[in-house]
Amino acid sequence: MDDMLADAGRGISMENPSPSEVTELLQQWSDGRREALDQLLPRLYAELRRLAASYLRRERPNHTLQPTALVHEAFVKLVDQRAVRWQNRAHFFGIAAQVMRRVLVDYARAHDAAKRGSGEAPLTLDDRLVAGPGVDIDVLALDEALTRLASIDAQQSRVVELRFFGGLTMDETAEVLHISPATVGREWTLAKAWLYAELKRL
Amino acid sequence: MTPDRWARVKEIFHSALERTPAERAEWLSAEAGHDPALLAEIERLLAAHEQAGSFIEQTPISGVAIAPLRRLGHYEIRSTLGAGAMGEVYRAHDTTLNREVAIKVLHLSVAADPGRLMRFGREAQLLAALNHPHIAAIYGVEDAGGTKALVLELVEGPTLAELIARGAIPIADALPIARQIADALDAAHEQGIVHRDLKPANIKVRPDGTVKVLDFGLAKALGPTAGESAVTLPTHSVTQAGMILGTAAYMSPEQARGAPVDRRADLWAFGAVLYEMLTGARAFTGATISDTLAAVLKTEPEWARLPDGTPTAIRRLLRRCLEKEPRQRLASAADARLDLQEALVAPSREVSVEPQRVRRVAWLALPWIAAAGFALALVFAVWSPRYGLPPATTPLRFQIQPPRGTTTAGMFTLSPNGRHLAFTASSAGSSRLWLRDLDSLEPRALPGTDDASYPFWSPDGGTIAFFARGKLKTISIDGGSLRTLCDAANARGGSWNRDGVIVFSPGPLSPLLRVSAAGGSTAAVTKLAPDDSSAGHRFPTFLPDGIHVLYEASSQKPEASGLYWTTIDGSASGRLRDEMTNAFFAPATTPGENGYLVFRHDNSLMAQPFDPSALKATGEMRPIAEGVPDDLNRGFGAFWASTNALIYRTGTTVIPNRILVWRDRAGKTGATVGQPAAYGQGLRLSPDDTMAAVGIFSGDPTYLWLLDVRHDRISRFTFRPGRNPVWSPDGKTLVFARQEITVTTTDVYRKAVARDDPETLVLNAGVNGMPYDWSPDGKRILFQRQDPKTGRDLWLLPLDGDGKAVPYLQTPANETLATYSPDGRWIAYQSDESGPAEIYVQAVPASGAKYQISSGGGTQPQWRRDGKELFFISADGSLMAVPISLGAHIDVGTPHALFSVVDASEYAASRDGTRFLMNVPKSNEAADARAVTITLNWLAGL
Repeated sequence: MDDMLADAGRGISMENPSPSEVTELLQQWSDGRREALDQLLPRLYAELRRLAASYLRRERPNHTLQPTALVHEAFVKLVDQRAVRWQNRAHFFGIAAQVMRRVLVDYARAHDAAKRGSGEAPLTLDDRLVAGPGVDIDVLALDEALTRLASIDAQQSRVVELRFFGGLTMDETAEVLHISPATVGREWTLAKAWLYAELKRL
Repeated sequence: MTPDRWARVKEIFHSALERTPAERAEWLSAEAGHDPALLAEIERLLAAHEQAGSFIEQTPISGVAIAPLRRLGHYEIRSTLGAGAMGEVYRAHDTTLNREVAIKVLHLSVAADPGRLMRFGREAQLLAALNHPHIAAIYGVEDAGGTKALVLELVEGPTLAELIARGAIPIADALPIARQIADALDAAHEQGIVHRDLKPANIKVRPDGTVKVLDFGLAKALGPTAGESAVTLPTHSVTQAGMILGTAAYMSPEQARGAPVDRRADLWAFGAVLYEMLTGARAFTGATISDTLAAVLKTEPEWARLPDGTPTAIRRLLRRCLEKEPRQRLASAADARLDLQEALVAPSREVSVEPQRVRRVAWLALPWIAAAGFALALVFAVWSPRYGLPPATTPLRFQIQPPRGTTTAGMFTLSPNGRHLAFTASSAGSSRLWLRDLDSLEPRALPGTDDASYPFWSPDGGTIAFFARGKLKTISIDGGSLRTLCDAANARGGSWNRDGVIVFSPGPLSPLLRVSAAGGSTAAVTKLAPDDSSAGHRFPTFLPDGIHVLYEASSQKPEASGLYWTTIDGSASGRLRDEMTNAFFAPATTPGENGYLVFRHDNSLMAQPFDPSALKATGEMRPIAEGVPDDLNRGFGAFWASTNALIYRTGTTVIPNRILVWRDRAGKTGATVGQPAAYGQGLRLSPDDTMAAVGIFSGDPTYLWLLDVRHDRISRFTFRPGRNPVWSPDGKTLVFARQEITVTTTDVYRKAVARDDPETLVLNAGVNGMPYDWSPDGKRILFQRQDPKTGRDLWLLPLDGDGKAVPYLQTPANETLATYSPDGRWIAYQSDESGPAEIYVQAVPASGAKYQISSGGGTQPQWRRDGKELFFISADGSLMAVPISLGAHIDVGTPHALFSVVDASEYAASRDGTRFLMNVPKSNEAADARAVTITLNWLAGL
């Protein structure tokens, strides 16, 4: 007990999630229990922030983070790789893309809410982490359009989810969906045009 | 689009891309020329393809969730402590109060959901009231730029989970820990708060041996709701989804089954924790959550694992806690504490403990006992001058709860000798005056004080003055003799000086009056500006000289409102602050020093050095408490201050303080619809009367919600701000106003009532724009637009055609609050063309000829759906009904009053006009039982 009591100053140590817990939550979620994601996302955020902070300490200040690598590293850390159902790397990427879609949509909503509230950004963004130009997309509108696209063409919607929200390459996307890279390319081209037309009200 | 058609689009699109642009047009017309719609779609997609460029080529993930959090409000984030189910937890430094705290940042999915946020706010208030040495405190809720966070007491030391991870805890150490946990549970259960997620990871053991239980009740405050967007009535079932192993192992069988949970679930978890401390192993385990829950439901713990020296009383206690049938289980945490106490004081008979351990037990227990003793000594030092102890020199803070079954609205006052707290608390809609001697535990209700409000003491502390049923009254606290002094119809506070003069405010739109405490006639103290009908003086408090009075002046004119002083004869007065707040002056303890003015600023309680003779501030103000609300939205802050003590209640300003009720034509109140909420900025019944579209204020924006009137279910309709909803004639669509905070103009959007339909912009309605109605033929939106020259005007937006709005009535007068007659040929509206706002009816399109419906003032016109009656609210606050017969001309009958709606802010008439859904305040008391914080000797802490 003396040793235990000497263990002061460690601060509140909340439960840090164990890989098996996160794995179980992911399984629940992929089984259709949407509430599991509510438990999952905070853990993912925390891990992402931890990783980002450690990269920033290690890397040169102008180093550009590879966000998708970061996300995947977070998953590798969080998810029990030995669990039977997660041996399929493709399945894992697929879930990651869905989770990131939720992350971004939640973020956009909260950001919207905050803009109307105080004019401040809701989360402290570190300039070094913000992606370069080109990312000027209304994520909420895209999410809505993507949901509409899913009702017309589910596979195209999945291709966009994996590539845009999951950051996967054409080849990785093909692996996840069990289709050829050429098909991914075709689906991507049309989906991109359709979404662009919807968002720009062409 | 059908699958076939989409397949065709795909095929043609890709084939077209294989051709050069030159070949494309000809090929396309050959391929799809027979089908213009198909051709148009392909051309649209090809154009998009040409323009899309790098669109969605770059993933937006970076910079979103991955930036480290550095600062939140006035909290500097120091380090990450972990991530729990509800969000991330940080160690942070409170730069205002200069202390270390733990901050739990709520996950975005909670922060973006007003329903969950509202629930969270309510729960957090309740939880913040928990004040116990073995419960980690909730300091408050922080909202910084959209990031919502809980500010919590930072507790150093390992969690019990970490301690157990190193092996079983010796009995002699485990029992004092268990006793403190039981103590915490007992205290919380007494206040009706169930932990719901008690487990070793939620229990901290500080280096001095003090145990703190974390996260009390947070499982309920932050847990997911049953549905995605529908908020159902609160249930106590725990959803199994999203549960983690670390929770399942301590879950009671009834929780595991999803049955309602009460404090007995905590007693089960307590047993599981105690078992694990003693054995080092979980009482119920499994490889997965399902296996673990199965073990909880079916298996017994391995009792043989308990160490040999486990006292019989403890073995019995464990079995009684881990009884699967709740009714057979140990009844209360107090019983557990007694068992532990028994085992602790008589260890020699049963526990074989090495001498060294015994010493450590004593050492472990000592700080706790010493701390309790210290607190008692302080209480006596302050409260019992008869013991002759010197006055305490450090502030002592504690909380008291309203009497069981009552709520308090924040009207409290401490007697001049600092011994008796008088406050109002209400139950079942009736408020009474209560008195609590601070050295006793039980408050008592004073008889004859029904409907009491705004109590204040006589300078000798023998009598309390208060307002009730339109009168100013006094009651002596020994014999309870009751006197009525004078009229005070709708009083707003009073104060009593040493010369026996009472200054009070008889109503929100009145000047201050004075009256002798012995009774007699009243005289005016202050004068209201004759040209300001919104002016009122209220919440007076005497300065120590008994001559000067502080008071709050309210007015819609900013230049006239604020905190003022006046002399008792009204001969002189002045303004102290331009914000509306009530205030108290607390003289300093040391003679020669000035003392402090205490008032509200924003949502904080402030203290500012103040010279009462010069009537001037002599230093900077500083915050002394955060989140002290303007109670009941009357400009009355929920605080009280004197030299002795600072008393306040905290909570959010968004109080679910309004309800929707049905009233019949006689004004008889019927059923309540939905739950109490901050309803406002829109209340419209759907054409078939089954749904109501309502605005609910939730912090800064108002969102629109849909209330299923028959089934009492509410669901969120807009995820971005919305107000002033208008139903389409078929009830399938709503248009509503949206004003972004950064712009001054209003946009009107439309959205189908069916789920998942995107909102579409209908028009920019400009400054002060507001949709009012949808024409019965569905072809036009009637809305208000404000013009710098002509004021508020009425416009019509055709929904077909070119979408250009045209004015309906644009005159120098303000035309507003308009509504189409059911036959679509007339519009009823409010105009101030003759001075006061009156209701008129005019044809569509406007002919200039109009029928004046009201006389002496009218607002909020609404038609009965058959067009045979028009309702409006008269200047004196009555709901009026006017018989009307519609046609090429109209015949207007005589308006007659149905009932008084002075308490209602909005109404919606049912189809047949037999009943009305009204937005009215919830009866006087605020929503929740909320604890009151008392800081004695608070000036020493400044």
